[in-house]
Parts: sequence; C-alpha cells; structure tokens
Amino acid sequence: MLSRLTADVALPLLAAADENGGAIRTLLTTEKLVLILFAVVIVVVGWAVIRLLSRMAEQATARHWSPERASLIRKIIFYGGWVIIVLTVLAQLGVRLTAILATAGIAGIAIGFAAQTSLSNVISGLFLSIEKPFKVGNMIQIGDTLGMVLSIDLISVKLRMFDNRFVRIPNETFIKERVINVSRFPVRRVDLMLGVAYKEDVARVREVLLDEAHQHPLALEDPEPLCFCWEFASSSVNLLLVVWAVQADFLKLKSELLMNIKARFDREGIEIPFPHVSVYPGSAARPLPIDIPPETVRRLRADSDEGGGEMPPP
Amino acid sequence: MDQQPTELWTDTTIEPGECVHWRIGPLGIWVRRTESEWRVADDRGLHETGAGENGLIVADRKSEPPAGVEWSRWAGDSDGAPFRLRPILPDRAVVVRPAQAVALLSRGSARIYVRIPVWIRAELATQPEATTLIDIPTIRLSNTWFGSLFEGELCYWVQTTARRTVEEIPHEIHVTVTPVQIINNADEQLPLEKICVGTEHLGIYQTGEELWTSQLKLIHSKEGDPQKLEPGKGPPPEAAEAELISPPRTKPKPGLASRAIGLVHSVPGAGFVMR
Repeated sequence: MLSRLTADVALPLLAAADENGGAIRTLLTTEKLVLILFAVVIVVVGWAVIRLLSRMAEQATARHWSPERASLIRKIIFYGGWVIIVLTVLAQLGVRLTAILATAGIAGIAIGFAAQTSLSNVISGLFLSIEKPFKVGNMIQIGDTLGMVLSIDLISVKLRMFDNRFVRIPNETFIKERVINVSRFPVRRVDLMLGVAYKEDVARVREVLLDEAHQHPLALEDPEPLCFCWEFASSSVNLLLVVWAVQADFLKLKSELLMNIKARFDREGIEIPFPHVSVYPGSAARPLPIDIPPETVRRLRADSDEGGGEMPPP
Repeated sequence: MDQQPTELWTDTTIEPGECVHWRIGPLGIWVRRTESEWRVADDRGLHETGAGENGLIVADRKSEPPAGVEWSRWAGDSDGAPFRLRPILPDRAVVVRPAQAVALLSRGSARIYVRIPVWIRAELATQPEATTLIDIPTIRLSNTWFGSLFEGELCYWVQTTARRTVEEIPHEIHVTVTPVQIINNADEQLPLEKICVGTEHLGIYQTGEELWTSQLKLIHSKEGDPQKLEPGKGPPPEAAEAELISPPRTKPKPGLASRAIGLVHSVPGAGFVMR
C-alpha cells in the first residue's frame, strides 16, 4: 500500500517540483539575488539612519522651538526618508519609476480633491507652528469657545473647557477666525462699571472706589488703579474702575472687589439705583388704577395729622 | 519683666498640652503642642477688621488665642526638638518709592534705606537642619508689577517710602532696614522713581531692637541695560556689631544682574484707551 501511495502521489509532485524548480532557478539568478539582498540592506540601514536623523533633529529643534514644532520636524524627516528609501529600493530592483511617478501624480490630484479639508488643516497647522499665536497651556477664546490648550496637533487643536469638556477644533478654523489669547501676557486688567444714584457726590464715590482698589492685596499697585466718571446713564451716574492683576488672580480679584465695594457702599450710604421708568398714560387713556399699601396709608395719615393736611380716602 | 526683642528668636521648649503666645509687632502667634501634633495660629485675619493689637510678647504661656483664629496642624514626632521663631525676608522682591522723586546725577551715587516688613518662620530646631512649619507675614503686603505689560516680575509693594538718612528711620521690631547704595556710571541722569529690592540674597541681622539686612549695591552702567547687583556679606556699616539672625534664602553668586530701577509711569496710560 505504501508503495502504491508513493507511486500515485509523490512521483507526480516530485516531477512538478522539478519543473518549477527549474523555473525558480531561472528566476532567481545570482545577480537578482544580489539585488534583492542589496535592497534589504538599503531598507534596514535606511530605517536606522532616518530614525537616528529624525530623533536628532527633534532634540536639536526642541532646544530652540516648541515641542510641537520639533515633533513636526521629526515626522517630516521620518516619512520623507521612507519615501526616499522606497524609491531607491524600487530603482535598485529595476522598476521603472517614471510610470510610478506619473501614476502617483494622477493619484495625488485625485487624493488632493478628496482630502482637501485634511490637507488644508495640515497646512494650517504648519502656519500655526510658524506664527505661534498660542502655545500649550494658554487660555484661548475662539468664537464662543473658551478653554485651555491641551495640544497643537497636525490636523487639529485640542482644548479643555473650564467645565472639563473636551473640544477638538480643526486647524483651519484658527487661520480663518479671530483667536483671543487670554493668557498671553502676565497681567490683565479688571474693568468694573459701577452705577450710583444721581444724588451722590461723584468725587466722594470715586475716592471710595480707589481706596477699595488700593486696599485689596491682589490689586497691583503698579499699574495703578484708575477711576473715571464714564457717563450719565438713564438711571445712574456710571463710573469705570480699572484695576490690574496677574492672570491667576483675575477672577478672584474681580469677585472680591465687587463684594467689598457693595459692602462699602452700604456702610457709606451710597445708593446703587434700580433702573427708573416713567409711565405716561396719555390724555386719551383711562386713569391708571393705584393700590396704596395699608401701612403707607397709616403713615400718610400720621403725617397728615401732624401737618394738618387732607388725607386720601381709605 | 521687660522683654527684649532678642529673646524672640531663642529656642523654646513646649510640652504636650501647652499653648505659648508671641507677639511681634502687629502679628500674634499661638503655638499649641499635643501628644502627636503641632498647631500654629495667628491673628492676621483680625488685622483686616481693625481688631489686631501691636507690641512685643515673648513666650507667654498663659494667653489663649481669641475666637476666629485659624489653626494650621502638623502631625508627627519631633523627638522633643524645641520650637523657635525666626525673621525672614518676603519670598518676592519688594518695590519702594523714594519719599520724594529724585534723579541721580551721572557718575554719582546715593544711599537710601528701605524698610521691609519681615515674615516670621515657625520652625522646630531639629538636627541636622531645622524643620520649617510655616512662614507668616507680619503685614500682608499688596502685589505690584515691576516691568512692562508684556513681561516683568510680581513683587510686593511696600507702603512706606525709602529714606535718605539713617536718622529718618523709625525702627520697629517687625521691620528690617535695607541700605541700598545706588551708583550711576552712565552718562545720563538716573531718575529714581521706584526701586525693586531683591530679597533672596540678603541676610537679617539684629542689634538691640533694630533689624538690619545686608547692604545691597545697585550699579547702573547704561540706559536700557539691567543693573548689576552686589549683595553685601555681613551686616551693613550702620549696624556693624549686629548679629546674624537669618541667612539669605539663596547664596549670592557673582555676576547678578536685574532691572531694579524703573519708572512709575513705565506703563504708558496703563494700557487704557479713551473711547
């Protein structure tokens, strides 16, 4: 039985192998084996070289530029190096590059149309890394979004909003829209618009406001606090108090200063008025009904009894 | 019994269950020790409401803190190390104005005296190094900015003005005096509207009731360039016999430079645009 298996199966396989072996021997001549071996060496050595070069470039640029820009340089060198390696290997193996490049050109146009948004973001990212309107850790506002920059990546910028929500904004948005870097400079100004009643002595109110500003330890003495009589509004005289603080103290100073000013106004008897509206019904309209609270009636009666005047009917 | 200011800085043994009180000028400090904790309280909060006292009290074991003070607590065993207080300079530079605006002539020099309220360091005299518990300012100083709107340094603002003569200086137990020698080697006059005094390289010395720091020399060479700083070694000439109470926070190195002299109105309009 074993001899029959050998005859029926193995012998045809050996015959086929012998034929293919001859073909393989034809394909893999010594010369071509050398080319393949050379290509492998190019890949291995090239990979090591571009890895080393890209890391050296990243370390060198990180000393003078931002970490994001250094990482970008590393990626450009790494992937650009791989393109060169692949083209070199293909040329080494005898592949005609002109056809590949022509195909790549056509494919590039097609990919460009399809990926124009992503490419726009990549190019916008390059401009952001050159222009540097903000860096990681800055607090920025773009549109209605206010948050801290977590990372500046190839296609998008990531923010953490102050209620701990995560926001991803495409880079091209930063090129097209206005960006406010709230924390770019170390100090920031607190503007407080305060309205007081018309009957108040504006000069005294101004002194009170400046005194409160000077007393607060977080308010910088230089630049010094300023107070301007800003406008005569419909219900109040408005004063603008301008105080400077370091970035980290901005919110705390604003809140505490407002509380201190309110308490001081209460102690000094300085009135913060409500908006006043005068209502005129017009000659053709019916009289407006008026409801006088009972305690007011009692007070008016008491005043009238003292003064001998007439009292309104109850 | 009259208490001497020099006794403020000596080691004090506090047994578990005891509460000891010090007063250094406007700042009152209470230290309580339990079996496993050290606790320190002060009355800074009372100053802001105008209820604080002023004076000198050394290691009073009969006084209890008033209501409203906040205690800071440290757990751990200190191996019976005694407690002590030590004056130190503020943790930031201080900015001061001369009593009157003055300009320093080219190739001239001037000496001014800057009064700086000290901080009090509460520490345990452990070996080999003391263990710091807390640093407490005797007076809470206001913040100020020394520099431009784009860059600069956060400093403390000292309300009292700089003095030109030693006789003008009132001495208080919680205030050190820093002699500052300003030398103008430039070709132009140097207006002295505000001066930033770096405190990290100055030590504190005491003689009697007076606290002095090392002298600080500022050398101005060219307009726009930072001034060269030379902190003195040892007590200043005005208090040559004074003893060292606190060494500098940082040892001075040669070649120190800083923008120490500025203009009050170096920020034009404080960045304000009239609409």
